Amino acid sequence: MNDAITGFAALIDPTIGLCLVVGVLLGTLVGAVPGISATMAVALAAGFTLTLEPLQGLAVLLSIYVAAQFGDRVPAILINTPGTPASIATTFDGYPMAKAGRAGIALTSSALVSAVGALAGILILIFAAQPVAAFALRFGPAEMFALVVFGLTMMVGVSGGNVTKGLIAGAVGLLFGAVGRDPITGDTRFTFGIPELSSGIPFIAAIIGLFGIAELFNQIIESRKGKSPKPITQLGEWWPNRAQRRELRKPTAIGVGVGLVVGVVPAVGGDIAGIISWDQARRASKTPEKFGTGSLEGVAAPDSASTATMGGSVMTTLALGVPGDSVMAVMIGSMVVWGLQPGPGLFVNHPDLVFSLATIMIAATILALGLALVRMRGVVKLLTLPQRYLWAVIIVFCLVGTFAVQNSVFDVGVMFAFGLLALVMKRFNFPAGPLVLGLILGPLAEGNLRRALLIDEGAALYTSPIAVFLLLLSLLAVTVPVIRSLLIARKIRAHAHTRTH
Amino acid sequence: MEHTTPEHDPETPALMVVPTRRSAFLAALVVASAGAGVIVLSESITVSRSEGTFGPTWWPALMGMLLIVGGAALAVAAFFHRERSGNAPLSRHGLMQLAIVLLLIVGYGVAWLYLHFIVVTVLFLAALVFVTGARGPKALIVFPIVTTAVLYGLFGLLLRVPL
Repeated sequence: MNDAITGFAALIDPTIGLCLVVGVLLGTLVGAVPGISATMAVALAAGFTLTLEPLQGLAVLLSIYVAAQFGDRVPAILINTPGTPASIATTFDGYPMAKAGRAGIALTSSALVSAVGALAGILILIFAAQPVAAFALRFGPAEMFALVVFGLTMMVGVSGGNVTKGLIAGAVGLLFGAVGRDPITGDTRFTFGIPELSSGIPFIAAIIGLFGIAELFNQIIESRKGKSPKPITQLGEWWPNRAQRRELRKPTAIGVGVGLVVGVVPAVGGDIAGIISWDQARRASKTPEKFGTGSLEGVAAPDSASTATMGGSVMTTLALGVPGDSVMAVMIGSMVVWGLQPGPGLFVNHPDLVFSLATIMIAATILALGLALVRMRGVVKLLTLPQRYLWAVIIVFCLVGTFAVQNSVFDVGVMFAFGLLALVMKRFNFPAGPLVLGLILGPLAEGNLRRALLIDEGAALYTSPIAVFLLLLSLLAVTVPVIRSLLIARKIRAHAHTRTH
Repeated sequence: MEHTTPEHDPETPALMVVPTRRSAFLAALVVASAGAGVIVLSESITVSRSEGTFGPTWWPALMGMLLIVGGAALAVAAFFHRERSGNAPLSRHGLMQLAIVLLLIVGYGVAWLYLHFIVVTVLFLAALVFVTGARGPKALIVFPIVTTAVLYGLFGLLLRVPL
């Protein structure tokens, strides 16, 4: 109880309120503009929040994270383009609703259910973070290594892409994590005589390159003359009536349930939760045939699910030190710079932090909801803004933001190097997420595996029930998608064979 | 679990490209070569004290081996099926724009050494929006000045970054 009071009291500072408002405005804005994901926005913001106090900085980053999940529904519904990956499933029914003249109802309902999902997820953070951290305190090197492997393989397995390419990206990330000092002996590795590399690859510069520059360059090379989105401007009715509100209940409950479960799984974000819950809500619906054609239920389920993952993601990140999703991977980098090492020990050293973060997220949710309900019509105008202005602003923000972290030109060079690397990876369908996760968790994975091997030649890896369980889950995470795609390919071949005969 | 998603809107057709088998082999070769390079480089790490098998060179060498295995797996996979890409095709116009943007970024970095941040950033932003197709005083004068003012206010004045 004392921790809760201390946590709430730490926020009685007007500058934190200001940071929160700035974060919510920025988050709503970046969410509403296709091409800037929440991960990219948090990566860019990390450049200028590092000079703030930890709680002020966290208020900015967390409120961007929360508000982006409200703003991203606008382009998903009005131009059939998700503002961030979390709103992919919103397009399935949101855009058909907008085409049918019901954009207003879709936008308002989406905002309401998103708030319900977000608040439910924050409860997970409040009540589960400390017990999970207490449990994780018992983890030895073998369990910690297994946890890192679990996080990495989950990100690779559930992303739906090529598993081999995901694993290669993860291995490259782990390799980049080895640059600098050895975690056990302190010997320098792969520094090539560059003093700036002795403390490792500058993380913030790398992530700004991976998520900011690479995405931007990719948009530029894919751009075509005269190609711009045409948003639906006829919003229709704004507020759902009683029957429509009743219609929202069941899919929202399904969405929240799915989001809470998916949220606590390391490295799995709102995009996955949204798609799963859309599918589950369709199966549970009395009118499944309406899904995909403009069903209000089809908007409520994914939107409540994607926001419900946030609390669980923050909990996993703080309690285990393994990022809950890609935004949290970026946040870990900032927290480390502030001297807050996420992991089981965090709640021993800062037990009040969980309550401060939960309060920030609740306030951000309420503010973002208010903004979504009141100002949504204004945000619509953003969708007609030519991309060239966005590109120019992002390039300069990436440059100046990266330089600002350590006043280092070397960091700017690292940012561009990682940006170009990620661009090539993207064109060859290698995901950037596992690379970032590998980069963050590399020292943790290497240090713990080597310790486990030095202590008992790694016996704990196959005798510890927790380690065995996590490693088995990891194996399933990378094998199930492969087996599933093989089975689907076989089914398609058999079907084609039957049709030719 | 099988997910069923609605059909794509015919008004916004998905632009897909299928990578050629040659590019898949190229990717496999690059990955495997990188792995081999890492193993060679890890041999050159100076170790201050012996830690047995699991010393500072072990982990990078292990990752190098994983990359070689991964590269081989990609090559084998390329034999059996062509992977569909989610990327839109490159455009000549876009590639030209990127080349010019990269040149402008290099020029910006060099100019920043000699001129004040405000001057170079206003010019840089104007040049950026110009090469990407913007015309007129609002785009080429107002936008760069306002954006530079916001950047300088945030980083230079508020956060005291030495710009």
